[in-house]
Amino acid sequence: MTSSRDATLSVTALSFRYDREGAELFGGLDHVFAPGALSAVMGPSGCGKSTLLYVLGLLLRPTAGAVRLGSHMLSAEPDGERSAIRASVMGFVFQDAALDPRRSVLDNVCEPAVYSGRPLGPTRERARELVDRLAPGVDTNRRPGQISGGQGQRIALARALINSPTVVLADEPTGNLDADNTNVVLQLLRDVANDGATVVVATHDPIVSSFADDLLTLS
Amino acid sequence: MTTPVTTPASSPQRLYVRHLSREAWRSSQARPVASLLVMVLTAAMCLVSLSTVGRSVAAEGQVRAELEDAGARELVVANGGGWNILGPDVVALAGSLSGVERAVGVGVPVDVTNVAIPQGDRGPAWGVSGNLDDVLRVVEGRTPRPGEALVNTQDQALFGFADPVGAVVSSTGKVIPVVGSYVPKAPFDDLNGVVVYEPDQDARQLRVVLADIGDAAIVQDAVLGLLGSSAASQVSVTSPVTIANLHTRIVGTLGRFGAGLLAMVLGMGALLVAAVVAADTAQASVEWGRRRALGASRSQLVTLATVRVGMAAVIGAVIGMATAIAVTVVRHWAVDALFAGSVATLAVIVAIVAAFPSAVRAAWRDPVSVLRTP
Repeated sequence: MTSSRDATLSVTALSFRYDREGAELFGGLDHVFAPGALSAVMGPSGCGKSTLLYVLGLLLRPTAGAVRLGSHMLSAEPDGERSAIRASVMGFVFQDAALDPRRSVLDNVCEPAVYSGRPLGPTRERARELVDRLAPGVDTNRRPGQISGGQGQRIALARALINSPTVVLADEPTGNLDADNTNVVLQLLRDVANDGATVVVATHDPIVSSFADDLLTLS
Repeated sequence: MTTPVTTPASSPQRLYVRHLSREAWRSSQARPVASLLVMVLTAAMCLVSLSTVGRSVAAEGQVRAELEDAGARELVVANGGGWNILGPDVVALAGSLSGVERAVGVGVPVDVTNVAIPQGDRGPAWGVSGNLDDVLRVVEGRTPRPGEALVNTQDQALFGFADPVGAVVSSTGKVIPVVGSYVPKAPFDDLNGVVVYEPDQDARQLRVVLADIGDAAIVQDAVLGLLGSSAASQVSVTSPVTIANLHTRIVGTLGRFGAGLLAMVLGMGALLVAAVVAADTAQASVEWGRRRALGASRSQLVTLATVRVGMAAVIGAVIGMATAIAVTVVRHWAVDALFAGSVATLAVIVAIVAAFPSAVRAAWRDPVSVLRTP
């Protein structure tokens, strides 16, 4: 059995449309997202950058084609199995961080572990380590409203990494950040890729391309 | 040939009870208004149910207890004509009938006095056939043999017995040894004075205590059947059948009223809880979408939402019960403890069931539509 950590995320003949009348996206896309690489998905608004991430993240099922991790056709799995794979193999970073404003930073970072069933004690320990590494100086007892937008996005990245995912999917992670914070977050994603994960970033920000190993442009 | 992805979870559908319970508790604290409303509604369901239906049930229980008292369950067949139709065999057969708790024969009482004090006070002496243990409890001395007697503890002084040992004498000069004292068992409290054990004598009255008031008519027919058709027409019967019918009507009426009221209270509570949970989940659509994106399965989300409501409901039920108990103590209302516990459990179940449709709707909502940033 191949470990998912070594497996390659790929799409073959991928197409997607939201409804019958909607435009077809991706047009039979074939692409390999190599492990240890940071891939940037770019293109104009409406080309399907975020949609591709949701398809890769198994939140949407492709209209045609497949999403694979290694030889495992993830997109063909039933919903419950896709949820479990998402919980244990994937990490999501959203444009607006999407932290729960009513919960502490620590609770936010630990949340994916709830769904993957990881033990609580080690998870909280790892969450503190991740926050120390990615957002040093942030008090884990604070709420998202009490930290800056840049710190919030780093906390979102810590949350995405809590289950040590094989694949990290980031949807416009720097969309709401200033230049300094953009560089910090992109460097952190670069580090995550260097640690062996597959990192896919959907963005319209040209600066991302300077951090990327692989550029996928959708039209 | 495909290579499955290795995941640390053994099964995607596995319910991580501890994690989810903790998450439900934390998230219910994070949404205090909805949790508080569910708590208040559940407490109100308990309080209203106990202060209305609970009192009704308690009243029903009291009426039922009175109607099911041993005295109310007594069937008396009296042989007014003096014919020898209530012999020991009839008493024994009556006692062995299904639905009969106890059956004894009681003779005509005669006046007796303490044999040592001929001019002393007089009291009645009752001849009893059947099992004496069904009629009385021996307090001092021993169980009498045939022809011997026990004196009622309350009448011991009347007869002038320092100890319940000696003899009494009837107006006809018959001397009856007294070998102890007794207290009568309900419904034989009228057997005061002296009880004489006369197992072989014909009785004037056959007194039957029914096991269940509901069987009054059947047992009455069976007892009269023991006498034969001609003898049955010569006796008078004091029957609990009327009480049994009253019992059935009262219990039925009170029960229907209580059940209807309880259904109305819980139904209203369920509607309000459903509305609160629906509004809460609709308002928190981004939260549910985020949870899905972070790996929550639909079943986990349904569990999370219902456990969250269940926790608030349990706290509400405890508060409601405590308040209801305080009110009942202050107002001196009688409320059945089992009923109170059942109502609290029912209120929690109703709250969880009411939350279920909203939980399912939230779990099946498309996460992408709520996560997309314009």
